[in-house]
Amino acid sequence: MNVLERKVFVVDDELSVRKSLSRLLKAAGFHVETFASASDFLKHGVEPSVSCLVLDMQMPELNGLELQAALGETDRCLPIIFITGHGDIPTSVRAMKAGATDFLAKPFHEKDLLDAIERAHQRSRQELREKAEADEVRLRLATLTSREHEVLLQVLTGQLNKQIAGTLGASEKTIKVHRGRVMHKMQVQSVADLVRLCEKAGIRVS
Amino acid sequence: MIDVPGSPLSFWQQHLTLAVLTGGVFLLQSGLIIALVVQNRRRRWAEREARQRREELSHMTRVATMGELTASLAHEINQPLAAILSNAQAAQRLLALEEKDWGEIGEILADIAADDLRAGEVIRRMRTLLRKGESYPTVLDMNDLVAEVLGLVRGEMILHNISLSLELSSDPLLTHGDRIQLQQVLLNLVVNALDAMKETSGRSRKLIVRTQAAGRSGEVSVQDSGAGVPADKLEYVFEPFFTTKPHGLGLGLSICRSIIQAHGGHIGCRNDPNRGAIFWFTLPSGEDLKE
Repeated sequence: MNVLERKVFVVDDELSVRKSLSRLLKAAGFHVETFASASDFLKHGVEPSVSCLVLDMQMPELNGLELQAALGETDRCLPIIFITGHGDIPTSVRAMKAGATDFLAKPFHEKDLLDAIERAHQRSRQELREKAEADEVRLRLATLTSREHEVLLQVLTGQLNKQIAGTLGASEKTIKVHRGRVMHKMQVQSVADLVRLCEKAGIRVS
Repeated sequence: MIDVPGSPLSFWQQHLTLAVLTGGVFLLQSGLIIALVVQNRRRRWAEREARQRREELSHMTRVATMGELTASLAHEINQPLAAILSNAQAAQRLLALEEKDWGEIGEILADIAADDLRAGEVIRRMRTLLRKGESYPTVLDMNDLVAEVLGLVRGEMILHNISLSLELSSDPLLTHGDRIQLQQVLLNLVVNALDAMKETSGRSRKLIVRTQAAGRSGEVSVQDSGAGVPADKLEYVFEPFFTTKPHGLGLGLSICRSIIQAHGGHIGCRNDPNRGAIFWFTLPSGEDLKE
């Protein structure tokens, strides 16, 4: 695991909290970057990497929940751990529903924070892997012709060549050729593999 | 005339009427004095009773105001506590290393001490306001008063996304008064201002606190960016049991008024034509207080 794979961003308006967290996380072996406000963090931007965000809930201007919403719009594989000086239940429920991995009330023990970061990094890693796979599938899908794409959608619904030929108004032999090309371009051996692959790219079979 | 030698008229025989009269006057006077003393005692007792009641009532509203600020106070104390804990645990990790960075460890300890003092200060201010007891008038600077009160609501302002603008007089604004009671007045005005803004959405939320010398008095004013006080209610806001809050008792401002009046000052409110309401109070101030 290299240094870049243990990255933590800290956003908190309070200097003393930022400083202390930065020291603790650096001492624990993480690569840490701190930001004094949500907008500073948004301006800085994040490259896709295994990372997580330790985010203060209550900040002037843009607060933690608003930053979470803003980040949600840009898919960045950046799990969020909320920290709060005063956590009420409705706020924590909103944060968790919006996808936060953990919610810690200040003051928190380092073990709780480090465990939460561990979980967040695992999730980040998995989301990155899924995203890479989905991107790969989309690349393969992009090589299909429009006819092949139509055939693919029919195959996904589990129809036989004969039925597809009927639906698309082509001969069964032509469909068979198209189907072979689809399987080849998508680099799969079976219809089951094809379905699994397409699901990763977000194509759902009704 | 028979003159019996050796038996002159006795004192009583000679002065009976006068003696009785004198005694009567003496008794009457004593009775009057006793009556006056008793009446005076009763009045003082009643005054003390009334003052105690007033103090209990103002203590009660202070406690209620602080109750509204629990989230803010928790936030203000938990921030330094969080920093202290993380710093201490970072230091433990640094101490476990082969090569110890003593410079960094020294900085950590200094930060821990500073954060500890900060948390202690919040608790001290809180305790001062929650304390129940006799009042002690002292000479104080109204600008300090503003700083002390704003320290208690800082968290509340962050929680509700309210910005602060301070326009303080450059010179100290001295007055003679009870610190706790005057803090209570200002805290009450500030909390009201914050409440007025929590209900507004869309427009920016800004609290403006000003202090300035005005002749022989000093003025403190608190302006919010809320909806303002309805024009027909302006003259009633300081009356007891007047409230616009669903859970308010309506005592806060009437107690503020009696505190300010007891200090020889004035209190009032007006709407800003542009934005929000302005609540202000003045207190006697001047050079002669500096001794």
